[in-house]
Amino acid sequence: MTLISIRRQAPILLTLLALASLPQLAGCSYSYHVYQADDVSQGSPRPGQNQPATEWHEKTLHSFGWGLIRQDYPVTTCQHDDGETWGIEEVRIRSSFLHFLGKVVTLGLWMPVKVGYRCAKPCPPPTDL
Amino acid sequence: MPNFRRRGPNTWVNVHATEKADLNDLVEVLNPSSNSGLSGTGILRTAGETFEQLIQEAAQGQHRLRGLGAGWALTDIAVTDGWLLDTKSLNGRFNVSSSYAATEYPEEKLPFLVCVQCGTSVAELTRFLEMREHKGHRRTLKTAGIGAGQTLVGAVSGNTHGSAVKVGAMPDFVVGLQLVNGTGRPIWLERASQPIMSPRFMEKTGSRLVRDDSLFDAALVSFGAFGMITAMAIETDPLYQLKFDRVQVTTTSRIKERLRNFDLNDPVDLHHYEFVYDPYEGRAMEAVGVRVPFEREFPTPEPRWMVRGAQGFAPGNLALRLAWNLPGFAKAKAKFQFDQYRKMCILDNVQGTPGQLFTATITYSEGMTESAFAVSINDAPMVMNLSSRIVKEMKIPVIAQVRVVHPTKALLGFTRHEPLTVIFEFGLADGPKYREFEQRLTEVFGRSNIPFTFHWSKNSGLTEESVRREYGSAEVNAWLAARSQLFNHDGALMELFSNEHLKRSGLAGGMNQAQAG
Repeated sequence: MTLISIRRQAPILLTLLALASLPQLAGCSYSYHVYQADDVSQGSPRPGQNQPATEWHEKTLHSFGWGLIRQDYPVTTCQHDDGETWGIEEVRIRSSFLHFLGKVVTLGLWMPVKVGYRCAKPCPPPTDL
Repeated sequence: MPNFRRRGPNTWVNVHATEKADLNDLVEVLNPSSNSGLSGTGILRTAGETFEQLIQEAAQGQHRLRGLGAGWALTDIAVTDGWLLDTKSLNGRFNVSSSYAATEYPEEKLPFLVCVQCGTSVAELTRFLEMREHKGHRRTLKTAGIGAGQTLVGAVSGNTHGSAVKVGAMPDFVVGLQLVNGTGRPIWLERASQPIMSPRFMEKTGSRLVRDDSLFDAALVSFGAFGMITAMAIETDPLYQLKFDRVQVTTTSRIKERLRNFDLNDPVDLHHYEFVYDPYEGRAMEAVGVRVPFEREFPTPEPRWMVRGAQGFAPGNLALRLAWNLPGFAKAKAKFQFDQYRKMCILDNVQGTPGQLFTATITYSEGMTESAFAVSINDAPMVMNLSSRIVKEMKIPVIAQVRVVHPTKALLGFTRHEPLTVIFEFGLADGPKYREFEQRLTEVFGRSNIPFTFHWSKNSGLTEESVRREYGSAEVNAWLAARSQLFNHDGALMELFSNEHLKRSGLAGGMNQAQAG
């Protein structure tokens, strides 16, 4: 493909890309993942990321007044009834096109974001029968 | 004391975002905390009682229910509109002492017998087996799939296969199942020809012993339709390593020649054989792993199937689907996939234990799915030709990942083709082209008289007709009869564990022995 033919096709390609992106805009436009990962370069003997004990717990959080008021998301589920905790395996932060629109229209006065987490595996029980 | 936590009505999405379900309830089932002081058998008993209670409550409210593992299945096979019971916290894995093993069980095999709770992931299990010495032995799985994030029960129930040419698929190392299905007490199911656990184990776990080869082989691959499989007994091997030479790019012609004359001993101690090819250009690459004794701990290689860069950048959740759906450039996109697969996925010039090598975890490619099917190795060269032709005619940007495995004993195991089973997998975006691709495959295989079976967790939709054509009516009837027998022929209980997938594929009911013929 020559440079000239690429130039001629560029508008078509960009249009196709924009059309293919539409479903993304309707849904979530971006996401971040924070998760447990074993660093094999530091001698971790077996990789084992993405080992959650639960499905996603997720909630839309809001911040108002350019950060003057925040909404927290206390985690009460990654623990036994006696208080023994397991920790969190993964956190996911997502923002949809509507969230983005809300931030732009209110000039940042209202900053919504969707935050989710999955619990880590609990400590396994004894090893012998 | 039953131990679970209700999350209430919930919208559930599987890991690849190909299935979504509105649930009446998502229930997290838990083990007691470590402060409870319960023994291993006490923990198994508690889990059994918890599931039994939940089943009784579901029956009273007429809610259907299913067990949930890691949610890796790409189809709606594990989906329900009722209660989804999340089992991932049930991660006990227990060495079996002689008092809990059947007297017939060979003593020398006892250190390698392990009882595993349903929520234990493959990665958790291989860590336990490979890093903890038990009676002077470190152990490992006889075979595993490429992934390590599935729960053991999920992987077995869906016939996860790997590429062990002399061993079989994951169901083939399972020797006992604890099944809770609402019939009053948990059933401990094992083969009559291979007794595993003792009466004392039954007493301590509150289980009812059923020894029957046919029932066991039917229940092995039953994708949750026989009730909740709450624990499994598995046989493991002494720790070994697999050695993979440097991958060479070859041609599909050479691969076909190898398949036509496949030699299980070339090279000597061959354990793992897979290959990948580009249907457009005819390029291929093989990963050949030989089994070698464990010598010393090699450093764990960089995990394969890891798309994250050094600074943490990775394709966005929808990026692959977006790229796949971008019209045109099918050949170039297939070439790109082939090159990336070589760089990031295939096992290349590496030696390690199964737990070090088979480590893939999901990297969030939402909306991407797979079409996978199995054929006999005798038909595999023809299938390469036929499927490549369809790929090119449809102009879809895919490469094929192909794995060879010993046939399974499971009655409805899709890796059942003699003398060796070859599994083809094509990664596609979920959508109309996916369904058209499988429809065209089905038509062309039918015209060419090629027996095939679709992967239970990787297909665009099975029907009663297709399941009976693929497995044979006698086998399907025997599976239904086994299901019915294990539910004590109680239609209401069977309905509890049915879902739309089972109904579509004609597997939701039961059948008595006389009907099954």
